[in-house]
This record gives sequence, structure tokens and C-alpha cells, in this order.
Amino acid sequence: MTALDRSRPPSPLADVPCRFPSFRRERLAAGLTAYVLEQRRTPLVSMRLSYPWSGASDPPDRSGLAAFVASLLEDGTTTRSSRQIAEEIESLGGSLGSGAGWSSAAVSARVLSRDLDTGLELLSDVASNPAFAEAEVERQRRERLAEWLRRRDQPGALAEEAFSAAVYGASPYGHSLLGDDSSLRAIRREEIVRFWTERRTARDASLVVVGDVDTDRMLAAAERALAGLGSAEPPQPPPLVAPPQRRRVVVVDRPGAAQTELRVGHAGPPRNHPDHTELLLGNTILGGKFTSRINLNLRERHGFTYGAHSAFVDRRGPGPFLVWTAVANQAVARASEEILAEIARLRDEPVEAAELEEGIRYLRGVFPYGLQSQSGLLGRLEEIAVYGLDDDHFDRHLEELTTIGPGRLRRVLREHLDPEKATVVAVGPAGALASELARFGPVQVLKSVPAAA
Amino acid sequence: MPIATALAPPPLEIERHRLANGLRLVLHRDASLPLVAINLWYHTGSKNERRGKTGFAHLFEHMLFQGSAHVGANEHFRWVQGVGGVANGSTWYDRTNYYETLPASSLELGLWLESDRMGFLLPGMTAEKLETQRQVVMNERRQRVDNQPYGRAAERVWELLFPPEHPYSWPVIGTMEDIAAATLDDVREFFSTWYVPDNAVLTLAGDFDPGQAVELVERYFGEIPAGRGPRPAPTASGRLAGERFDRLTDRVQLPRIYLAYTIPAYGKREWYAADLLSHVLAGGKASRLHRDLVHERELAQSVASYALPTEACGSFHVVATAKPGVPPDVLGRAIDEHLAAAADTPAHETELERVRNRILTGYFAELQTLDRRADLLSQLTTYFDRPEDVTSEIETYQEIDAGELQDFASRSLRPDHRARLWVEPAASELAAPEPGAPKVADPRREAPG
Repeated sequence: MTALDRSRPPSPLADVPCRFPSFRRERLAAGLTAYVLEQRRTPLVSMRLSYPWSGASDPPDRSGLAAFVASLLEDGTTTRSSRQIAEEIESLGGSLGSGAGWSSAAVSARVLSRDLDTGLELLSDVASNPAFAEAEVERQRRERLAEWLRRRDQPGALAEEAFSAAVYGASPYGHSLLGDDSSLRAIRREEIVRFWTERRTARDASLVVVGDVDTDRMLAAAERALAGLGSAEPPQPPPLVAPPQRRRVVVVDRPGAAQTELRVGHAGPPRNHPDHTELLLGNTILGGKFTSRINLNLRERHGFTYGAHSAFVDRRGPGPFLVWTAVANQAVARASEEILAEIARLRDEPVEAAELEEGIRYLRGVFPYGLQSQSGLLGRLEEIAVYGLDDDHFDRHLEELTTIGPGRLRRVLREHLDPEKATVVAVGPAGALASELARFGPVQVLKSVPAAA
Repeated sequence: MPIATALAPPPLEIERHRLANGLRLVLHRDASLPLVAINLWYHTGSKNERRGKTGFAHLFEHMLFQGSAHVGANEHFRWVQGVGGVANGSTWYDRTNYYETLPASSLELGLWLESDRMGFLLPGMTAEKLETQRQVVMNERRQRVDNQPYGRAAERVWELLFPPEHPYSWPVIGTMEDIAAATLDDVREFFSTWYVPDNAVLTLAGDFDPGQAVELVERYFGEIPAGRGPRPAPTASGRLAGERFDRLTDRVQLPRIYLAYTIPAYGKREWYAADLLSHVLAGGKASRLHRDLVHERELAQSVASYALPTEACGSFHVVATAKPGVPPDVLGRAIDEHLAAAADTPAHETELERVRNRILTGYFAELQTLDRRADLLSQLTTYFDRPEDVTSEIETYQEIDAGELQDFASRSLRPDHRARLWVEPAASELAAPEPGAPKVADPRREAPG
């Protein structure tokens, strides 16, 4: 054996190319599309039934309605009480939950594969026959009001709310998914029932299943379980357009806070935009991994923060591009300046070949990491289902990554990134922050907790 | 509906080796995906600190990503992410772990990185790097503790639960004062005492050839000199002589209650009984506390219970956040009723079946990823030298009966031997109710004070 040379890293063996596992997509008679991926290493099955409505469907003065309705799905059906649902699924060691996001509303369940039939039966009952019992509606309302109250304490939640309000204004992404104190009190049971009744349809819905199942048997069972859903035309979703973006600063005052939550960003493109792969690569270089520019700058060079990240957030419409971090109070202005400068640098200067190569290798290399678990696979399939992507989307994406050069990356980033249009949100002690941040744009100061009477 | 019969988990293929310098190696081959998880546990953590030097094990963990003799500052992440891998580390009372999951083709790269910082760390350490990481860790503490609602509560609970000289009485992340005072000499001393092959366990899980892997591990780690070997765990602290109660005010809207008890150490049969009982009490919506306090009486917005797997002794916790308008003593009395019931009457067989199934499902779900499998194998080897317990733990959960749960509750969950903490809103932090708004309280509840 030769002496070990530690001075340089060993060279890797040849990589095994990774492909997204094959799955079956089938349109069921009821009108929804089913996606089934057999993964039989673990005796579990994970399922999710998704509807196309979401927080973006909330009427203007009823923010939080979609999420309220979605949460109530698991709170009782025409034949089962909320307690029976919980006991039936949990006695098997399974779990079931319903909720809404910004691009879909869904009921998810996970059971041991031997209990697939019961799991599917409960999932379909919850997704098709909610009762919206008066007592459950009021219980859910009290829970959501308390949750709203609890979020007043959470600097990250406050930053998220202020950022959405500033960037999206009155457009569909401008409110909180949960709603607020007054909308939650105003929503009436009849509005809940009407919202649901108009949207109770298999049209544009999807069922995604990953796990220890036989595809043919699964499809037949789903066909039977979801036959009653109906195939009416759902209401048109509101147009998903962001208002014009401009530079501004929002400070949410938390007197005496130990640290400041910081968000910097603007509206970005929808998930199904053809530039998605380039944007993912650009973001990886900017703030998508530990060794990305923003984290090395803010954390490792300056010690301002424990971590700084960025993302183009996946949505059906113009989801946010944002940088998020929590920084020492005295470093907020300098950190904001560094973040805006890093966005400008990525937009205006070509990325060196080595850094580009590193980003491409990272994205291709970590891809199989996310395919280990059923929930990871379910998330990927759900992306295909909800955003209407091609079945071979991920294989093509992995392939496409290898073809991106600095020129193309820069052209795409120039189109989608603009520090001059970024909103800066800081949640911390407003006194010093408001004046320090004034050089980045007009400042609006908000209170974090409504004034005591 | 028929109650499902127990499903046995398939045994994991495990191979064990021990290097001459004492490094223990666990191999678990699974070629489902072209990945390999490398997981290294050092049997040291905040338990090896002393008052005045708290938070050092964790600050030291940060320094291990700052480079070593042949790896530059931040190059650890650069090499790992450059091949498409993920990496991190974490610190806990009893241990510190470092891990990366890489494309299978880069196994040797991972071994090069981990062996360089085990064998050749000190040339990479500088005062400047320590200073930056000190600032990073101070910000980590602000982010996780000081700027979070209820953030200081956990520290206070552990302080109440253990005598001041016991190492579990201070927080893993340490105090700001102690973080500020750490020196490069502390780094050198901690490294040479604890970061030695005979105080470590290395686990590889994934797609590799076991024979070749053993050779590579020998090649990269074999020449690192042994240290003084494993040290005894800190002694168990007996249960509290009385109840220790405290109240904190914080920037919060809703009061929260914390109850904590010392229990037998992780690995003892009673510890698993405690874990099962925590699921009976608060695991899922059908659990006792959730159904009664959250759903029916609406005294709590949320409730949680868990047993923590610490080595000197374990601890059992119940945490509940009050609904608006519910005073903590009302919520506290309701929880005590349930704890007393757990000690007085055995759990129903259907309840036990539910939590056994829940644990089984959780086990299958958790072990889907190579990094969790590797981490669990390192854990069982570090504490008990028994990686094969990865499946026998599940059997223990299936065996324990209602009588054992009741025995545990009556012995260990006694109101006169526990730590109890209330976190209450500072008066100025309360949001004003909207005029004319409906009362959020449940009419069935007794009128809050």
C-alpha cells in the first residue's frame, strides 16, 4: 500500500446517473388524475388528494377562508365525527390531516400498507363528505383565533406577514393564509359551506400515492373510493398577478428584541416558468446552500447571523423571491446592504466557471437524497400534479442543468432579479432600525402587537 | 374494526469492526439509491463542560467546520456540496455528531474529510476563526432562544430539574457570558481530551462494498493515535426532593406550562414505558390530553409530551399552551388529573395498541433515510455498544404492558418530585380584544379569573 497523501482530496469514482423513478398517471372516471409510484422498501403507503383551490382563492374581505375550510375537512364527515376519524386512523398507527397552502388544498394520509383500504376509505370520506358541524366550525374558529394571537409573538411569522402584505398588496398573495383577527371572526358557517359546495368536484383534483402498493390494485381502489366526488366545473380562480414592485422598507417594531428578523425580496415567476432550472441554479449560487454567497458573506465573513438563505418560492402564480435571515440588531443595515449587493452582483456579473460547475454538481448530486423517503417522492410527484409539469420533468431538469453556461444564466437572472425593486422587512427594535434603513427606501413602521385598550 | 396484529420490522444488515486505536465501525449496506451516509459520533457533549465554560462543546462543533491541516476554512462544506452532498453536525448533552450523505462515488472524500479533522485539527485553528464562530453562535443563541417566544423556558426547566453541579442543569448552547469567554486553549484541550478514536463511533450506511469500506476506514483513520478511552457517564441525579416551581414572564400572548420529571436512563426498560406513556398522553389527536384539554374542554391550544433519551438519567416532559383566558392553574390542575389517572388505573388495551402502532409506523418512516439509520446505529453503539438494538428497541415497545406503564407513572410522575414552570405574558404584551368581539372562551369552562 502506498503512503497516504492527505494533501488533496481523493478523486471520486464514476457517478451513477440518477433518474426519477417511474410512476403511472391515469385519469379516473370521476375526473381526477391519479399518480401512483410503487416504492416497496418500506411497508407504508402515503397518499394525498389535492384540490386546485388554495389561500389564493380567499375573497378580499375573508382572508383565511380557504385554510379554514380545508382544516375543517378532517373535523367530521356526514357519517363520522372528528373524534371517530382521529380514533379510526390513529388506532392503526396512521395519520391523516387536511389543510390549504398557496397552490392547493389537500387531505393527506399515511398508513401501514396492510391498512391501505381503511386509509383510503377515510381519506376519501374526509375529502368528499365534510359535515361542517356548527360546533366544529366554532371550535376551529377559536383555535385559529388563538393561533393568530400566538403568531403575534413569533418574529419570523411577523416578518412573513409584513413581507407578503408589502410585496403583494391587495393581490391574492397579499394576506396571511391563516387570515387575521377580524376576518376569522367575520367568516360565517354559510360562507364556509358555500365555498366548499362550489368547489366539491373531482375536476382538476389529483390523487398522489407513493408506497408499498400494487399500481393496478391501487388505481381500482381509488376509482371506487372517489366515484362520488362529482365532476362539476369549479369556479375560476382569481387572476394571479403581482402589483408593480418598488423598493421600500417595512419595520415591524418589537422593542427590546434580542435580534432582528430580516427579509429582502420581490415577486418572482410561477413554478411552471420555463426558466425554472436556471433560476434554481442561480439561487443555489446566491443562497440555496451553505456555501452560497449570502451565507458565506453574512455568516462566515461577518458573523452577523447563524444563517442566511434565499429561494424562489414555488407557487402557481408569481411566488416570492426572497432572502431570509436573523441578524444581530446592530448589523441590520450592513446585512441589508450586503444582501442587496449580492443580488446585484449575481444579476450583473457573470458567474465564474468553477462556481457554476459547483452549483450544477450540487443540484444533480443532492437530487437522489430527496428520493429516499415516501414523503420526499410524494412531494416531487405533487409538484408535477399541482403545477401541471410533464411526467419526465425531473429527468429533463437534471439533464438541462448540465447545459447551462454563464451567459444563459446571466440573461435569465437579469430578467428575474432586481435589487432596485426589493422590499426590505425588518422585525426588531424600530427606534434605531427606522433611521438606519431609511437609505434603502421609504420606511413604514408597523406595531407588532395591537395597542392595549 | 379488527385490531391489527404486530408487524415485525425486518432486521437491518449490520457488520461491526474495531480498529486497533479503538475506533468502532458499523457498516450497513443498502444499495437502493447511489448514496452513502457517513455518521461519526463523539461521546462528548455539554455533560463534559463545567460551570463557567458552558456552551463549549457546541462552539467546538462549529470550529470543526473551520478547517484542519489539509482542509481549508469552510472547505469542508465546499468539498461536500461540490459533489452534491449534504452535511451538518449537532451537539447534545451526551454526544456530538457529524454527518454527511454523499453520492456513493464520494465515500472516500467523506472519509478523508472526517479523518482529517479527527487526526489533524489543531493546525487549522486560529483566533480569528474562533472569533467569527463565537459571533455566529451568539446569533444562533439569539435566534433559537433569546428572540423566540418561550425561548428561555427550556433552560429554566432543566435548571429546576437538576442540582446546579449536575451537567444537565445548564443549556447545551451555553450562556452568552461563557460563549464570550471561550479561548483557543479551551479548543486545544477539549480536542485532545475528547476527539480521539477510542471515544468515537463511525457508521457507514448505503451503497458501498463492505470489504473495500473497511480497508478505506483503516487507511484514513488507522494511524490516528488512541486517547484515554471512553469515560464514565455523569452520575444519575435522583428524583427531586420536592416540587420546584417557578414563573417567568415573556413576550407572549398565551401562558404555557412545563412539567418535568427525572426518569430512568435511556436504554432501561422503564424509559421505553415512559416513551409509550407520553404517546398515550399526547401522541396524536386521539390521545388523552389532546382529546380532553384541546378538543373537549378547550383549556389548551396545544399539548405535547415526550421522554428524552439522555444517558445519566432520562427526563419526562409535559408542555401545554393555554387557550386565551385560561389561567395556568386551571390548565395545570386538568393535566394533573390525567397524570394521577395514569398512575391509578392501567391504560386500556386499545390505547396501547394505538401507541404501539404509532411507534411502529414512526419507526418505519424514520428509517427510510440512510442518514437517520446511520445516526441511530451510531447512537446505539455509542451508548450501549449494541447497534443490533435498532430492531430490538421496537420489540421492547411491543412487549411492554399496561401494568408497566402504570408502575412507571406511579413511581416517577409524582407531583411532589418534579419541576414545574409557568411562562406568563408580560402585562404590556397583551393584545387588546376587539370591542364587541365574541368571547373566545368555551362556555362550559369555569369562569377564568
